[in-house]
Amino acid sequence: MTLSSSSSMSDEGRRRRAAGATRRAFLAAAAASVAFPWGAACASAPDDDARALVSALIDEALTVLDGADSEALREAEFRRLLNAYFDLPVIARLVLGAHWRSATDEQRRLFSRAFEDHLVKVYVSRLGAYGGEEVAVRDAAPRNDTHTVVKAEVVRAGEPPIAIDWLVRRTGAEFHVIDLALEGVSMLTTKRSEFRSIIDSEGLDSLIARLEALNAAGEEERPRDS
Amino acid sequence: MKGKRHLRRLRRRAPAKAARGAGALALAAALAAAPGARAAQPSDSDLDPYESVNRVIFEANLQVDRFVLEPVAQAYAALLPDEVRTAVHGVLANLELPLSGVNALLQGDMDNAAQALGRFALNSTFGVAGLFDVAASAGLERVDEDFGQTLAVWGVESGPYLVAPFIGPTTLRDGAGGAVDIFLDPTSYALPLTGAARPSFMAVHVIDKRAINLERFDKARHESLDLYAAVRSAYLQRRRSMIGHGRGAEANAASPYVMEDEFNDPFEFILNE
Repeated sequence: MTLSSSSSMSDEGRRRRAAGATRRAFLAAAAASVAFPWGAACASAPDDDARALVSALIDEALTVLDGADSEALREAEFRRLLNAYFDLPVIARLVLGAHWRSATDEQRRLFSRAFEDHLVKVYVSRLGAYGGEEVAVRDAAPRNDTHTVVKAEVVRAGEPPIAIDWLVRRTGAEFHVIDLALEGVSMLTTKRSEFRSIIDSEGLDSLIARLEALNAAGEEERPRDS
Repeated sequence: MKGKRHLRRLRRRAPAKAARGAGALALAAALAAAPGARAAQPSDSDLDPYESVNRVIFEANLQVDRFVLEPVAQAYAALLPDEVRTAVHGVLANLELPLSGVNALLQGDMDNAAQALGRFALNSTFGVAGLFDVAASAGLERVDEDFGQTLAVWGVESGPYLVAPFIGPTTLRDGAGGAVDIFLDPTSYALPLTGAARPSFMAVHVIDKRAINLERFDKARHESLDLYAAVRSAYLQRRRSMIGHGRGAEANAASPYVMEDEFNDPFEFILNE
């Protein structure tokens, strides 16, 4: 924060003002999202809807990061955002790939629950490093009939921006985030490769057990951390 | 316009020929891609035929990191003020630019080459050897090119994923590229470091890189069930993104060699499921 306020470079200033304007747009979008469910609000092009979804999500997430003072509150808020903005059933299916098709209903149910808990922890931990930088939403471009990539950047003073690409999926008239990539590294692709490696050597039940154990380990550690 | 179209046509047939043209690089030629092959991207484990050996080296590297590199980087981060570390990082990053510029030229990417060399010229002079990033305010973006990426642009496939002792994740192509970069780097000719200066310079470089990633790596370690597979996937994805410049289709179109969106879609694996 001190770094950015001491910056007097005009270009940087312009960029920050632009980012501020975009943030106000997020607020408007967030307000709109309360008034209309996503499905009902899409009179415009799909790319615009995908972009508005990502803008609203980023704005809500930044509000949580600014406001939530306890780790537990932060986690509860992120769980809510994850369920509201992400298509968790699709994500669980995609991250297991072929192993989803061969899984039993019980395995699917247990995996989905453990994976949701895991995602909440991963996002809370990753975004815990957030230090008040502006996040600017850039272009949205269609990837195919049902998917749009929305580009965003964490704007940092004196350092190159961090690129965050969001993959938004349209189902009927509804839009949900299904993946995000930091500097070209997709979270789902990484998780999928990691899970596949464990399933191939130990099986799906073992993966579920290990996910549950990792989630529980986080529970025990937290009192010591905070 | 005509020139560009010619280059585009060339690109279709070029990969194998271009790699052969770089005759000194026998290793590179051995890896050259079959021209026109646009098969689906291989999975991470397909690219890792030496996984069992790699895992052993990975574990050994983790121990070296845990007992040597991480504590040294932690001490470096704790003892030196932010301003000093930022300045050191700026100077080191600036010294990498000439090599990036040379590689951008070799890739036929004049735009990127101009960005790298312009950035180097501005930051070396007005930015006092990289202490201040004045080029950023002049609208010059960061460029990070190496010979591994150059080989990829010439059509050389990655070859097997490897974990090198002390160095960490790489591929046959990127490792060979790294070796070539040592000889290609204009900085090493302009600043001939002798005696103890060279290893000290390299040590600062390594510590700077590790210190920047202290928190990120710690998080990755705690949220991964299989750290080896997570690092492998992230490395391979990051390299694909860098080869595509991570900057979208227009940037790719600026380079006559880069094939359309082949390297630049982080979601390809997910969408092809």
